[in-house]
Amino acid sequence: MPFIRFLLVVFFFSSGLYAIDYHFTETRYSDALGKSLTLHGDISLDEDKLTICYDNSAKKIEYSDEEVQISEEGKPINLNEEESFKLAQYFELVLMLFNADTHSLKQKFQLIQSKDKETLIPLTQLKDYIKKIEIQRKGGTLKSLEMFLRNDDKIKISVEDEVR
Amino acid sequence: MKYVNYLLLIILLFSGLLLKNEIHISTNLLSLFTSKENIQKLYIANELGYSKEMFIAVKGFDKKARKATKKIVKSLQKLPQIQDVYYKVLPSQKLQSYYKKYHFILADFNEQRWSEKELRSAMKKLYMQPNQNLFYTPINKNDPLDIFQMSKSKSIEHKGKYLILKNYGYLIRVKTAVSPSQMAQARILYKNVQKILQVYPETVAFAGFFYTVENSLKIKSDVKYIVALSTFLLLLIYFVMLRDVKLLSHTFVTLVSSMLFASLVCTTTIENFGVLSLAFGTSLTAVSIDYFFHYYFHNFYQNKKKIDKSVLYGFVTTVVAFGIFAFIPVPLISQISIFALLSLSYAYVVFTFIFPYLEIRLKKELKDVQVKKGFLPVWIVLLVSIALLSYSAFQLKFDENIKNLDYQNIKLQKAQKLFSQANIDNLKPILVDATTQEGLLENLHRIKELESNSYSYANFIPSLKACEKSKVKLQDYDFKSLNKRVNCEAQKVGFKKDYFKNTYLFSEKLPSCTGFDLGAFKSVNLSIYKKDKKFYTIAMVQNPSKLQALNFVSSIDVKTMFAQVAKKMFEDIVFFSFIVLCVIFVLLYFSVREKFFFALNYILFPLAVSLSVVVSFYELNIMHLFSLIILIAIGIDYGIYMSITHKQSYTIIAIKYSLLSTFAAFGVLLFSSITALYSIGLVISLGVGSIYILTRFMR
Repeated sequence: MPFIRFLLVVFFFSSGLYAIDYHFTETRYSDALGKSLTLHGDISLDEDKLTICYDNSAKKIEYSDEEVQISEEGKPINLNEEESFKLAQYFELVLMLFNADTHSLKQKFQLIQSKDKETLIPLTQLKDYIKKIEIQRKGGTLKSLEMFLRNDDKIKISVEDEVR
Repeated sequence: MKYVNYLLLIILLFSGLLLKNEIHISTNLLSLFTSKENIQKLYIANELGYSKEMFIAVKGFDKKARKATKKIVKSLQKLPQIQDVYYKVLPSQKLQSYYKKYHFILADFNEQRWSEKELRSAMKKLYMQPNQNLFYTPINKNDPLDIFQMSKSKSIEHKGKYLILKNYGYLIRVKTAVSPSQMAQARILYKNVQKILQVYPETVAFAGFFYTVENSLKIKSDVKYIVALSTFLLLLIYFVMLRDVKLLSHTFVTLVSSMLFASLVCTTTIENFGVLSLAFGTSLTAVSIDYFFHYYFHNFYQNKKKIDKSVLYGFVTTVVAFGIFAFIPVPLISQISIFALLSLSYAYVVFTFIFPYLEIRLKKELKDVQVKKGFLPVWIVLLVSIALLSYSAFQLKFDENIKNLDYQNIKLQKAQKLFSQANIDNLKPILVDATTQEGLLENLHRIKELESNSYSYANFIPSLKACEKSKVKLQDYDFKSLNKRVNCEAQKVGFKKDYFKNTYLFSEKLPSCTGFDLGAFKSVNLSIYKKDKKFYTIAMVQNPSKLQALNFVSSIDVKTMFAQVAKKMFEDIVFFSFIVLCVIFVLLYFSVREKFFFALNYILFPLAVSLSVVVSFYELNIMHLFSLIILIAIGIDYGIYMSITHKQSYTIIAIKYSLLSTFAAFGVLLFSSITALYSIGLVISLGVGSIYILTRFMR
């Protein structure tokens, strides 16, 4: 019994070393259209790597080593430089929020903690694009993040339970 | 009377103390090599940050390299002499504001008239966009029809958001407050930077002031080594060969006194007397030792003669030679000549009139010496000399690059090359000026018209003409009607009401085409400097020499500046040397008469040998020329001594010791790794060798 317990502990510890997979729901509200678009997909997160696959799409988005790569059925799709740049910045931010990298977050945001959510106000050039970000966590892991953009659009990512 | 020599030294030291406030030595080496005007330009270029930049490249493009880069940046930012550190491509806040403000003027404007169909189709496409894109893409409220396109500016080499050095790794550009001429500051910053970088062995760093620090360290160690060698040789001569400490003391005191005398007079009376002139003049004083040796070996101090004719003639011709050089328009050479005049005169007076009272006796053992007779006839030596000189005249090439005189720091030169290779267009800096900021921009645009590849404010800021033209185009277009139509179609298609209320209604509030904030461009390495009612900036161009014809452009290429001065220096030196040689020939003739060609060989042969060796393997530089002048001075003396001597054997011994002393003073420079010093050493050693050959083999 103690041996099995030991194995379980090792298993739980080591699973933390590998990427965590979630189902997620992304809701994009467009102020211009006055309505939201909802997407579902799977997201796989690591310390500095992120992979997203949306349902109903053969395309896979990978962010690693501070670069974005999109592929469809294994074939890479070329992005123009500006798009690639902007996406990299976006995913860098998403990863930072998921990993609760407090040190980097404190450099870029003013953190306001309230009862059930964290509000982040951008301090750097990000404030030209983002008004604020609201995060909800449960037991230390991120449950949802919502970005309120300057143009009154909103992006909300809600995470379901971990995929085992 | 025995101690008159020491007394004179004490008097001189005392005078030095009294005149302390009158002594001024100029350490402005730059003023020796270029005009006042050019120094001004270099100063302004310096203020604009040119030559104060430091580059660091971290090898590799992986995560480890990125981490190292960020750590290095953090450490560098803590240093007080660092002004800015750039390692990302992101434009600065100021630059982004500039682009935002002038977006509609800077962008290419598609003036098409939109038909109903086209407009509807465009708005429909826009409406579908959020549904179709894999990623979130915002709706461009300001320009939904995408009629304003910012043309792609030439992108800087980058990977993601980081600057890179192509094929090497991440690049860090640092703006420092230290220019290469600030020795003390340079040392401190150099030490601090090396401390940070030593943890990351695969990084390469370069800055102008690295040369200053590394080369000065090398020069210091080189000088120590040479002084040690020189001292050893001198001690060998005086302790081992002559075995007379009193002699050493007296000659040493005399030489020091003559240097002191000349220094005092020159530094108090000549304006801008340079430290370099002081250094070379001092070393030239060593030449006067041959007066002493001639007197000593001929036992002049013990017999009742008042004047030795050969030394007198030698002294007079040397003085005349330097006297003529004192008028040369090259300040370095004229100052050295005046110094030499003074120190040699002092030495002559002391050796001739004071030394007899110092009770100097010639050691008996040295008197009985046999000397072999030479076999080379004068005319053969003369022919060989003329042949070698003619050969040299054909092979002669001048090295106008003063940088070549410095210690060749291979490691730094490699680093410099690594970074300059990244500058693919191979652009070089020029200084541009105007009386107003608008005028400056106009000038930069004129340069851009001549060279489309140039880099300056004109790459970012439109010319007044272009800007006004843009504005007119925008004001002429009926944006009001476009706005109405866009809103109408938007509503039809399904957009939120009044979402495009203010779209395209900017033409009333277009920004001014003047009064740009030129300080916003520091992150792209552009800055402006104001001095004496003029504005200056640096532009990078491919062909500086062509653009120099424009009256608002000045070159700040140190190499060409120095080359111009170096060329003039060479011409002056050659011209004056020619005059000096003619005068010397005349004086020589009247001193030695029928032995004219014999004596002449002592001048021509060493000159010919040195010159022919130098031109065969190197380009002639200023130090070579300077040393050749010294050879002339030495050659005159020896030629005269050998021609009108009564006791040739004594004269030959005297010359041998003089040659040894000269070698100990100058020849040891042959072991220096600094080109300037090595050049002097080479010429003098060859000269000394050739004169020895003459004393041994010429009949």
